[in-house]
Amino acid sequence: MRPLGLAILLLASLAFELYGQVGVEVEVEFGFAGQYLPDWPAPIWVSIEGRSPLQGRIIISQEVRSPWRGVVEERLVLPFVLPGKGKKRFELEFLVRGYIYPLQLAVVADPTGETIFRREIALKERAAEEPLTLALVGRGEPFPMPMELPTGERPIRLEPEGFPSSWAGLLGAGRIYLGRLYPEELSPAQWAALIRWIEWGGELVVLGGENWYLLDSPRLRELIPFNPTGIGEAAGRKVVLGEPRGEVLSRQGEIMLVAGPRGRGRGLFATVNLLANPGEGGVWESLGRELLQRAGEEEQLRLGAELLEQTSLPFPSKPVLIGLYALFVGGLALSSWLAARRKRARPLPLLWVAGIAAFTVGYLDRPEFARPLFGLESGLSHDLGETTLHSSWLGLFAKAGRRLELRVVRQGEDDEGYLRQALPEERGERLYDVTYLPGRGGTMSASFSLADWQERSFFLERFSGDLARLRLGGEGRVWAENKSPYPLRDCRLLSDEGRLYELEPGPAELGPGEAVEWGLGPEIEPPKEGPVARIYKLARTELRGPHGLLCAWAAPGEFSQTPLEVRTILRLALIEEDQ
Amino acid sequence: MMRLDIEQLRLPPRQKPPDSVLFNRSDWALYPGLAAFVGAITILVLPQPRRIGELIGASFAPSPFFAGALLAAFGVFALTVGQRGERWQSRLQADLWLWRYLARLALQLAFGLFVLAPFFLIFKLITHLSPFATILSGTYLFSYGLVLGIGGLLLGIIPSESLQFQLKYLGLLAYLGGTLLEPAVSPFFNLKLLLEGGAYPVESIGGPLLLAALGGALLLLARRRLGLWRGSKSLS
Repeated sequence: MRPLGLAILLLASLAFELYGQVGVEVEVEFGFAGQYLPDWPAPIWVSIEGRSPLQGRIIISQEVRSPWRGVVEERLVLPFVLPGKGKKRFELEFLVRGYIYPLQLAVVADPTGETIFRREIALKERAAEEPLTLALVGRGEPFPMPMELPTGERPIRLEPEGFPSSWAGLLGAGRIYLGRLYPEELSPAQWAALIRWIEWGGELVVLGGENWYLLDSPRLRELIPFNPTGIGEAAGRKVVLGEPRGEVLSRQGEIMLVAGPRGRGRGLFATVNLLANPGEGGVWESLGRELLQRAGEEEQLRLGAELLEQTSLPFPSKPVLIGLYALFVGGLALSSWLAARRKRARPLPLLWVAGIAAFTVGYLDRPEFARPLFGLESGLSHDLGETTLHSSWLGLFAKAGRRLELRVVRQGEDDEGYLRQALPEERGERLYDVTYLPGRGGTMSASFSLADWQERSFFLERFSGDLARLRLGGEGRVWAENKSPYPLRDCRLLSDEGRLYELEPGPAELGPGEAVEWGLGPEIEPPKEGPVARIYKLARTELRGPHGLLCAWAAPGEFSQTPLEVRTILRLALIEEDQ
Repeated sequence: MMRLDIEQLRLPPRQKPPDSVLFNRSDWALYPGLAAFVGAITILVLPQPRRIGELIGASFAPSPFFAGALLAAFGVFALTVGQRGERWQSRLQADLWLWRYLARLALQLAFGLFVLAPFFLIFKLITHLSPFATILSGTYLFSYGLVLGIGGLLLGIIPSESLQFQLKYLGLLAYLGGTLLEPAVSPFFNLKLLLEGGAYPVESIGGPLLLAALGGALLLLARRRLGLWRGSKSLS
């Protein structure tokens, strides 16, 4: 009986094991219908269907081997819980580096650590060379479109299921065409993502005509620079009638294309369905091939490191230490000589050594010498009207290696930020490995090891509500209102030519909730050197309108600080003139 | 049970002028000398304030220099202290048990380490060494000094001062230089590892083992030599 019992037990455990393996089904959807833009975040959906409660982690990783940068592995780890039998779909955004090295996706069960699913996602055939053009349509809607538009774009057809619900997931897209779609088909999170993406710098083209029967909704009316009044016909085609609210890029009677800015991006409205008739030459021509300038190039990503590298690392003063050394050796020699001759002088050398040791500790045990980490956090908070885009850079330098977990300070429940690592030029085997851990509300933290005498830099973008308002009146009057709970200091007026003007009467400060009116003062020289000069330069390139208010932004840091660190925070606020 | 009584280490009161284990007319200069050498190296290896951009990837590694300076200076110090132990015995003009030599040696080495405390503190704060690694490095240096001190004790009984000098420095050079060929047993690599505060590889245990073996052998030799002295005058 015993061997039989043992065999049954073994078979039963094997069956349970197999049931556990086949009991979980995982589906993976990558990018926009499988396509993505290298070096930008790509959306990835992982659906897990389990037959019993399951707890585990979804791990997406990419190991990049580069002759310039050595080996870097970046991982994104999302913990999940399946309470019982059922299916759950998880969305992640992962910055895919290049197209040569594949992505690895694994689902690991906890607490056993057993890998229940593993897949390699090859990237070479999926990489795009330019920002993607998406055409968003409703579920199962017919939406005929040519392979290539007259602008040269090759649109990717997407249905709401394949549309990200986080703005970071859309960063690989340059333009989105909105066609036959009921706005209700997009979830509130997807709408929020779409709006954030436009504010970040995306371009939404709403195609009117017969699509407007489906599209018309208060949500969409808010996004387009056009006041629709009805649907009519022109040249045998359905045309949306109404008044333009923005710049008319092209007009042939009622057929027109209107553009209106929103944040750093813009919304466009075509009164006809352009895709139904790609021969609409004038309109297509005014759409142009050139997409809006993209922020976040490698150079901008590396700003944190660039600024940190300009700062000086303090060390104890050598003259002080040489003086201390001479005093110590001289005093020790004298006290030892005396101790060898006078019995009462014997404690002297001991006291001398103890005194000098205490003095040395007193001089050296200061944060700038004793703490092994140096950080420089800089930021530009760009008030874009209804919204504010906070770009933050962090450069970290370690005198002694440490394992760190860098958390992003969340400003509210709906705060959604995207954190990226800037890879330095310097080569280092596994020097820049990092694990991202998404938190609630989309904000991430990063876990990594910082080797001694190395740097790391991170770039964070997040949005918040209106920061401040600015109006310029005649006779050089400047009116501003601070809508944040933080003080804005040393405010100056910046013009798109890079000129900087003082505001009078000084000091030009805006307390929390305060509204102030100033007069325009004399022109002043912007800072020419150092980290502040670099952020000024960036503010000038970021300015959209003719004038902006530039203030020192006295808000707390975006990245959490460790007790081991000495951190300097430099932040500027750039407030655009009200439209 | 053997108890270490510091009074037993002192010379009898009849000796004039009053001498002490740590501070006597012949040994007092050893401590300032040790501090001067190690301190000079410590200050030399300290970096100047520089832009972080110039420091990234630069191999700032003060531990090899600090370890080298400590081993050279403390080695010479320990050998000298050991050598002078023999003179101490002869001045005492009495039989001495080996433990009294060792206790005297240990006391002097401990004070030598104490003298180096300000430099250890500078090094610890600049390189962010953990207190445990600092204590471990100090303990290793003390053991190294103790072994060399016993060697010095043996050197002291060689009648020729010229031969003593040659054996002292050549022997130290041979030990420190020769073991460099086999990093696992090298005091330099062992102390450097401890001063870096990183993981201590298993094979490096060979260093402390070699030190212990050397110490044991020298102790046996010293015991035999000291046995010869018992009841006799000093050889010097």
